[in-house]
Formats: sequence, C-alpha cells, structure tokens
Amino acid sequence: MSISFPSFRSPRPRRTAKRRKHSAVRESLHPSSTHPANKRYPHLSTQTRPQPQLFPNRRNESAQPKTRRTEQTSTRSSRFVSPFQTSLKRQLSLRQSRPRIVMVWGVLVVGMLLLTLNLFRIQVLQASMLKERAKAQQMIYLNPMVPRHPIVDRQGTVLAIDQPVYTLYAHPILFQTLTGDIAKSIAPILKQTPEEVMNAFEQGESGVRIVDGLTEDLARQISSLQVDGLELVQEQQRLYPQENLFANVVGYVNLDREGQSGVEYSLEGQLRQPIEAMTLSRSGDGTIMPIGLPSDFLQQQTEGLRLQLTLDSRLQRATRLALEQQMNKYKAKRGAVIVMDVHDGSILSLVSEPSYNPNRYYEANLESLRNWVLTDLYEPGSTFKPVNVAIALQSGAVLPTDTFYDEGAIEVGGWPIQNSDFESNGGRGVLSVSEILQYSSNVGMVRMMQSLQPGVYYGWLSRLDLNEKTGIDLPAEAVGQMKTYRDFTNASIEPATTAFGQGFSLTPIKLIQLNSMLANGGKLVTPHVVQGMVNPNGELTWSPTLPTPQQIFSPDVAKTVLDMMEEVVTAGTGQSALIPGYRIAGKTGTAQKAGVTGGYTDARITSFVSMFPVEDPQYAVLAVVDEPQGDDAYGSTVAAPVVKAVMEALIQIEQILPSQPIREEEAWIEDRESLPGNYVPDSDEDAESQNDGEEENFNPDPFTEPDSLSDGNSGAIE
Amino acid sequence: MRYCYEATLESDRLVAVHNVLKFLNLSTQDWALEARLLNWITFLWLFVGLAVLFSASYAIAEATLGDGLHYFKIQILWICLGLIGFNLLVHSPLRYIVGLANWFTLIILGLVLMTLLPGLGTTVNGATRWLVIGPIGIQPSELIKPFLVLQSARIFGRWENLTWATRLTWLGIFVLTLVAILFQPNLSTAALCGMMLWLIAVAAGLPFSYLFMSAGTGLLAAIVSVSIKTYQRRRLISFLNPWADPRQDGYQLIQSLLAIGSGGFWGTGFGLSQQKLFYLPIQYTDFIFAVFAEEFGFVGCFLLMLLLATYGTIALRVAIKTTNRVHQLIAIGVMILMVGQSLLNIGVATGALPTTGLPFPLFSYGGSSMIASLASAGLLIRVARENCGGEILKLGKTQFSEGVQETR
Repeated sequence: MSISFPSFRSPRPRRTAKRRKHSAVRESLHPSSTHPANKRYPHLSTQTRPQPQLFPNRRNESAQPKTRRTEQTSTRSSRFVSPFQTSLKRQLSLRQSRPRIVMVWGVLVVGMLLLTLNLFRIQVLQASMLKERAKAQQMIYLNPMVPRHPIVDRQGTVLAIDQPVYTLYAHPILFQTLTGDIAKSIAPILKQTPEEVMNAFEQGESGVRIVDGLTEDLARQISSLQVDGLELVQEQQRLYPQENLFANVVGYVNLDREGQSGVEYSLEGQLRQPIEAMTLSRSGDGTIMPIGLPSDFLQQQTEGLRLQLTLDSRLQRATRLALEQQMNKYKAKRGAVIVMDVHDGSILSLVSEPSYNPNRYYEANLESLRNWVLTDLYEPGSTFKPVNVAIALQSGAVLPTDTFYDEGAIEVGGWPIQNSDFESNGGRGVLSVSEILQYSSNVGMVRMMQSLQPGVYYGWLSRLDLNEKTGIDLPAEAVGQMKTYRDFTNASIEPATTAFGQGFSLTPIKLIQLNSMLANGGKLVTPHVVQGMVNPNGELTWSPTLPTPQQIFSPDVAKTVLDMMEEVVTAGTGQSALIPGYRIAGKTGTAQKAGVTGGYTDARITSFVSMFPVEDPQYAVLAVVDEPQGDDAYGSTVAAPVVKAVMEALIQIEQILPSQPIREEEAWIEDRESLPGNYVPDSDEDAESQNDGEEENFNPDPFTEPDSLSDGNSGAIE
Repeated sequence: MRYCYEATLESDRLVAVHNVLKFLNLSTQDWALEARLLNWITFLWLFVGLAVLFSASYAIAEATLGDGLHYFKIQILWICLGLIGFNLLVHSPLRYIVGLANWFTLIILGLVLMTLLPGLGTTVNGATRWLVIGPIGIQPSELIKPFLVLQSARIFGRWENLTWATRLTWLGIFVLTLVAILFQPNLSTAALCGMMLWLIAVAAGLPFSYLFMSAGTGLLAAIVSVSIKTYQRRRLISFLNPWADPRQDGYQLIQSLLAIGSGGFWGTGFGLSQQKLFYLPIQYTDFIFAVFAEEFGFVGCFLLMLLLATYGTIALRVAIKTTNRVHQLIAIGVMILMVGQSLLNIGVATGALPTTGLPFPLFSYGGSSMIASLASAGLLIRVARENCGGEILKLGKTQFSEGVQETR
C-alpha cells in the first residue's frame, strides 16, 4: 500500500493554520507566511501543483502508519502522533477538503437547478398538455342517456316510457371455459339453440353482438352466470305499452332517441330531460365528486315529471274497437274518430286507422305512419252544413223560421246539383231550415246560402280560418284549401257547392273544431292533446299556452243550430246515433271524393259529427270512414254507429246521466218509424232494432273486458 | 474555539444539572447564527411537511381507515418521538455521539440483517423492509442513515490515522450494510446510502483513484442488481418513457407527472389536489411531492427548492467553518442526507430518475424516516453549535491546545 493520502494537493500550501479562518482574499494578499510550519515542510511551500514525479514526496507528508520511509517523519506512527503535527495535518486537510466540500455542495446545487428546470418544463411548458390528460381521467362525461319523460294519459296510464334494455356482446377471446359450455348455458335464456349461439360466437374473437333488446330480467340471469367474456351493455329503450292504440298521437322515437312523430316529436323539448352532456369530477376509485354539479342536479333527477295527455286510454280503446269493426265490416280504406271537449278543445280520444306499433315502427308501411286526421284534406260534405246554417243565421240573411223550396235537383251555373236521395224521393218541396238539416237537403242548402251575398259568405268562411291550422299540438298538420275570393264570387257554382260541403277541403280535426263552435256558444277553441307536465303529486308544473278562443257565432245562433242538429238525430238522417235517454245533436255526411284527374269519383268518404248532451254540450265526436265499400255505405250507416258506440263508452266513462227517463225509448222508435221519407235504409233499421235489443246486454265496463265490448258492438253493427 | 466548545458543554451540563426534564430547551439565544438558522429552517420544513401530509393523506386515510386524520395523528406522534431524539442530539456533545456511532451502526446493521431472516421481516409491496415490534413497524434501513453519516464521517475524517485493518473493516461493514439493504430489496435506499458514503468520502478528500474505483464497483453492483431483479429493471426502463405502458410500469410516474403538471404555475390550492384522490399511488409517502406540486404549483416548488438550497448552503457554511474534520463530514453527510434525499425524491416524482420508493425527508409519512431525518437535522445543528466561528481566535486560544483536545 504505497498510495498516500492526499491525492488532492492544496493549491495554497503556504497558508498557515493560523490564517485558516481568514478570508480567501486576505489569504491571497499574504501568499507567503513565516509560520514555522513552512520551514518544517519546505517542500509544501514550493509545490503549488501536484506533480507526478513528486509522488514519493507526497507520500511522506501523509500520516500513513505503514509507510515509514519518510525523511522528516520517520518516527511517526499511527499510535503516536505528535500533537503539533496532527493538529497541523488536520488544519491542512481541512483546508484541502474545503473545495471538496464545495464540490459536494455543488453537486446538490446543480441537481437542484436541473430539477427546477425540469419542474418549470412540467409545470409551465407542458402544464396545459398534462392538465388535459389529467382531466381526461378525472372527468367523466355523462351521456344524455337520461331517460325521456314518460307520457301518460289523463288517468296516468303509461303510454310511453323508457326502460333499460341490454345488448349482449361476447368476447370469445376472453372465455375461460369451453365455448360450447357457455353456449349451452346461455342459449335457454336467449331462447336460441346452443348451435345458434355457437355460430354467433364464431363471428369473431371479440365484440360479437349476440342479441340486443334483452330485458333487465334476462340480463340479470346472464350476468348471474358470471361468465368471463360476456358483456352486457345497457341502453335506454322507449317502450310503448299500448302499442298501436296511441301511435298516431304519441308517435315514436328513432334509434337516436329523437321524436319522429306525434307528441314525441312536437314536445321533444319537454320530453327530453334538461340534463345535457355533463362533465363531472371523479376520484381515482370511481367516486363522483360533488364538485361542479348543477345546483338542482338531484331535483332534476328525482322530479319524475311525466307528460300528461288529455286522452283517455279507456275511451281510446273503445273508440278504436268501434272504428275497427265498422271499417272491417265495410272494408274501408281508413277511418278516424276524434272525441273533443267542446269547451276547451282538449281531445279525449283520437284514433286514426290504419295504425302501427311504435315499438316496431320500422316495420310499419309509410302510409300507416301518417296521422291522416291531421295531414290529409277531404271535402267534408254534409257535416259542414250545420256550420253553413250558423253562418246564414249569424249573418242575419236567414231567420230560423225561414223556409226554402227544395226541387230535389237544380242547375247552378250550368252544373247540376241534386239531393243524394233525389232518385228515390224526388223533390221535398218547402223545407224549414231545420228540415233542410234533417234531410241533409243539398238543394235546400244551396237555396238557403244563396240568400247571402257570395262576398259576405266568403267573408264568413274566412273568419272560420278554413285555410289555417287549428294549432293542435301534433306535428304535420295540413291547412285547408278554399277557393280565392275572386273564384268564389265570380262563379255561382262555388258558393252553391260550398253550401253542401263540397268544393273545398279541410282536415277532420278542423271539421270537429268548427262543429264544436255550435256546442260551446260559438267559440273557435284550439284542439290539443297535451295537458302538461305533471310531477308525482299530480301537480301541473308546465302546461301549454293556448290562444284565447275566438268568438265567431253568437251563443243564440249556436244553440239554435245545435237544436236543429238534435232533430237530425231524433228525426233525420242521424237516427242511427241515437242513444235512448240522451239528447244528442249530430249530422251525417257522405261526400264524393275528388279524383286525381279533377272530377268526382264513385269513392265516398262518410262521416258523422255529433255533440252531446244537447242541454249542456260537453263533447263533440267525429267519425270519418274513408272509402267504405257497399251500396249502403253512408254517413248514417257507417260513421253514425261508430259515433254512437263512442258516445256510449263516453257515457260509461264520464258517468253522464240521461237527460230523460229511458222509458221513452219505445215511443221514440214508433215515432221514428212513422217519420215521412225516412232515409235510413232497411238494413240499418234492423241494425238499430237489434242494437236496441242488445242494449241491456251491453257490458257496462267495456274497458277491462274488451271482448265483451266487441260482442255487444258487433251486434249493434250487424 | 475551545471556549466556545466548552461553553456549549457548560450550557449542556447546566441544563442537565438544573432540570433533567427540561432537555427540550428550545431557547436558542446563545446558539451560533447557523445553528439558529438551521433550527428555524428545520421546523419550517417540518411544519410545511406536516401540512402537506395532512392534505395528501386525508382522503386515503378516510377511504381506507375511516379516519382521515389517522396518518396525520400518527405522524405527529412520530414527530414528538423524533423531536426527543432531535433535542437529545442537539444538547449532547458530538464526541459522545461520535463515540457511540460505531456501536449504534452495528446494532442497526444487525436489525437490517434481521429483516432478511425469514419470519422476522415484514413484507410490504414485495420488499421486506420492516421489523414489526408490537404495533410499531420500524424500518432499520431508514434508521441507519444518520449513524452511517456519523460512522462514515468518523472513518473518512480520520482516514489517515487509521490502520488499513480498521479502514477495511469499516469499509466492509459499510458494504455489508448496503448489500443488506439492497437485498431487502430496497434499491433506492441502498443507492442513497451508497451515494452518501461516496460523497462523504469525496468531501473527506480521499484519493480520486479510490473514489472512482468504489463508484465503479457500486455501479457494477447496481447493474448486477438491476439485471437480476426484473421489477427493478422494468421500473428503470419505464421512467424513460412512462407513456409506453401507462397502465403498468409507467402508471405511477404518469400519475405523478399529471399531478405536478396539473398544478401549473400557481397550483390548485392547498387541499385541492385531485390526483391525490386515489389516482396517485402512495401519495402520502413516496409521491407526496406530487401532491405538494399540484397544490402549490411551480411557485411552491420553487420556494421548496429555495428552502432546500438555503438548508444546504447553511450546512455548507457550517462544514466550512468547523475545525473538526469529523464534524465537517457530519455536516456534509447530513446535508447530503436531507437535501440529497429530497432531490432524489423530487427527481423520481418528476421522472428525472427511475421510479423508486424514497421518502421525502420531513414530508413523507413514516416513523423511521421521520426519526432518522430529525436525528440528522439535530446532528447538523449540534455541529453548528459546537462551531462558534473565527472570533474565538481573537481570544488567543492556540490551535495547538485545541488540537490536543480534539485528538485525545
């Protein structure tokens, strides 16, 4: 071991121990010292830099106990060191080690500087990138998978509701057990054969969609099997428990959960929960942190709002059944029934056929997706006559007591006009206003409306907003078409055809709106199906604002016309709608349909509009059956029985008391039979009498047992 | 010098005589400037660390133990225990302490070796670093740090006075200590202790040939260790590009980087770290700096660096001022232990160094670390106290007599 201790030589060996505390500056000012130590170690004062050739010398100054070959300190040993020498040596090494200490400190300082620079890089230069990445893991983005509000009827019966459904995915690559065993275990749940499931598994090694639309129950069964490699993904599905029944009102949502028709479309804003995509903070264990939540987050979640409609599913069911049966009987193309509250325009039932199942809307044909009650125009025919009578009376040109001569067939402006029963009954002679309605006399109507100046007549029609929407809260409503003022006033045929409801067109919903005026004292109410948003306590939290009804006719005129319409039912063409004990006003309509080429075709559209009870009118019912087949297909035979069935259901549901004792029934039948020129065909008469006979057997509660209703009604119709 | 030394001794004797219980004498009026400054900085460091620990540990303690203050309270207990040791050291003559260092070093080395014995050591996270005595777990590898400082200072400081037998014996003991720690396995502590010993040797002025040789040996040992232990190698590699495997090896570092980066310039504010909410692993021990950095931002980090720099610089001043080689090396050793370990911890958290588990002195939760750090800080303050500066020379005390005194 010949290596000496100070491999590092002090650059300033002349510095003495005495001055070791002095500042470097002072020391440098006194480079030479007279301290005896310098004399003792002369070589230290001369050597300022370690020289390789002096290596042996340096050995000497060290206190190595095993190297005793030094000249000056040959007697030194590790056990005995002269105090003076030791002290000096220590001073030297202290001085010598100072740069070493500073070096160690420097290492730390350099480390500190580098780390500070690194921190600057991370916290200032890269901060935004790192923040973004941190946010990406700390935030969760809530999809608007929040369920849509349910839709209920006025009773609270659910018409549309969101329910969780599951899609089953398989990742065969993750299967821990035999694929065949897994297929066997889940096949019964999926109601498939194990082979089918196996085939599905073989579609890929991951992300294979096995089945979708699984109910919660089935999903739970699958997840309880705890099979690795099966994944259930939850989705929300809109379910329409009533299927076809409300399709034309409620509508449906597409795969993106956007309303496509009906209320689902027109009230999208209300139905969609207000919670849009939201970002929430989340901790590392997945807990959502209550930071940055909207203040009413929980309220929004628990409000449980539902969209309540004015419709009544019991009535809707009865209505639909009655309509369907009649349509089947007459092999009609399509049909519609509207039941409306005459005072506020709320719709209690709206059925249009054909319909579709909104749960499987994609299977429906395009024709049935249309709610033709709103979208399709037709020429209303005789059901418009009461409105004309009201116009004639209100304008003052005609008095209720006036009479008009009915030739049975006339010619106006070169066009022949005749009564529908002209072939069988010929001209009826002098008719009162009421009788014109009773017999639905076209000629009588033409004569009566000719009392008005065409311009005045047109003015009244315009006031009815014929060419405007009713404003119903359902989408795709069409506006009626009517001639221009010039056409109407220049050709005398125009007011004449309009007088019996042809030559212009409107939607069924517009027609019932117009007729309701006669029952509500002359006001044009806005039909609507939405009552509003209700909370679980049944309180309305939102309701649509409806325009103030416009007064068109005076209450007196309306009442007069309504009374006349009552006679249509008691003594005229509407007798098939008569319900013993109840005062019912009504009007039949059988219109020719305009063909594609312009002229009229043989196809008919039959309708019946009714308001009751006459003494205190509450409801308007309109039935329209399009293209019923058969010679006896008239408003009175096709549509009126439907209206009657609907009114009967309404009486049951709303528990409407009869106006007079039901015993008068027999008297009424005799009365009707003795009527002159009874329009009602024989077959219809038979139906009526059968129906009367069946009346007692009629199921009082048709809504829980629709089959009974069906039996009762089929008797009535046949 | 001697006056100062004896005055210090005298004051300690007085304390001992007048009130044995009053050893927690915090009056520092008669202390040297450096000692007082170090005392202040140590307590500032300690209290900042306690506040950071409170923030970092509350959520995890609440979630796992049901008591958010659990770690905080236990840390306070350990601090009390550590302050007892701190004050004992501050008020005890260094020569007594140095005289006992070899025995303590050997005893704690025994404890370190005990952790390696099957059945005695307690394994946490794959490393057997703990000895559990009753309810208390101690980490001998942490406790040995201040004694390694003392003993290495003693050996390297008197290197030229020692026989090769003594030198090699102690060098062997140091190597054994490092190997024992390495085999726990605790690469980070072994590396820290190795670097510390090496830097103390550098400061002691040992020949560079020795130093480079030992450094080469140490590096070789590290390489061998890393190539044997796959987990160490994977960690070592992962720090170079943590994003390559963000779910596995890179996870800890990525979470730490996200936390530090999220702090930005001004920080999110005390208590408002979101990464501490179970994204950052062991956020109350090894990655406590990440929580600090997120909450206090670059400004806070800069101030912390300033604190470390101040502490290191005062330690350097103390070392330069002292006339005793051993004391000088103790000061340097403590500086390396406190500042160097902090820097290593920050380096790990910021991805500048491989991800290893090293506590941040006086910040991280952990009793052994706290006691070791406070003891180290106490040693440095003691060195500063026994080191009264150049004005003593004016009193005419000769260095000759002092030399006799020191070498007896």
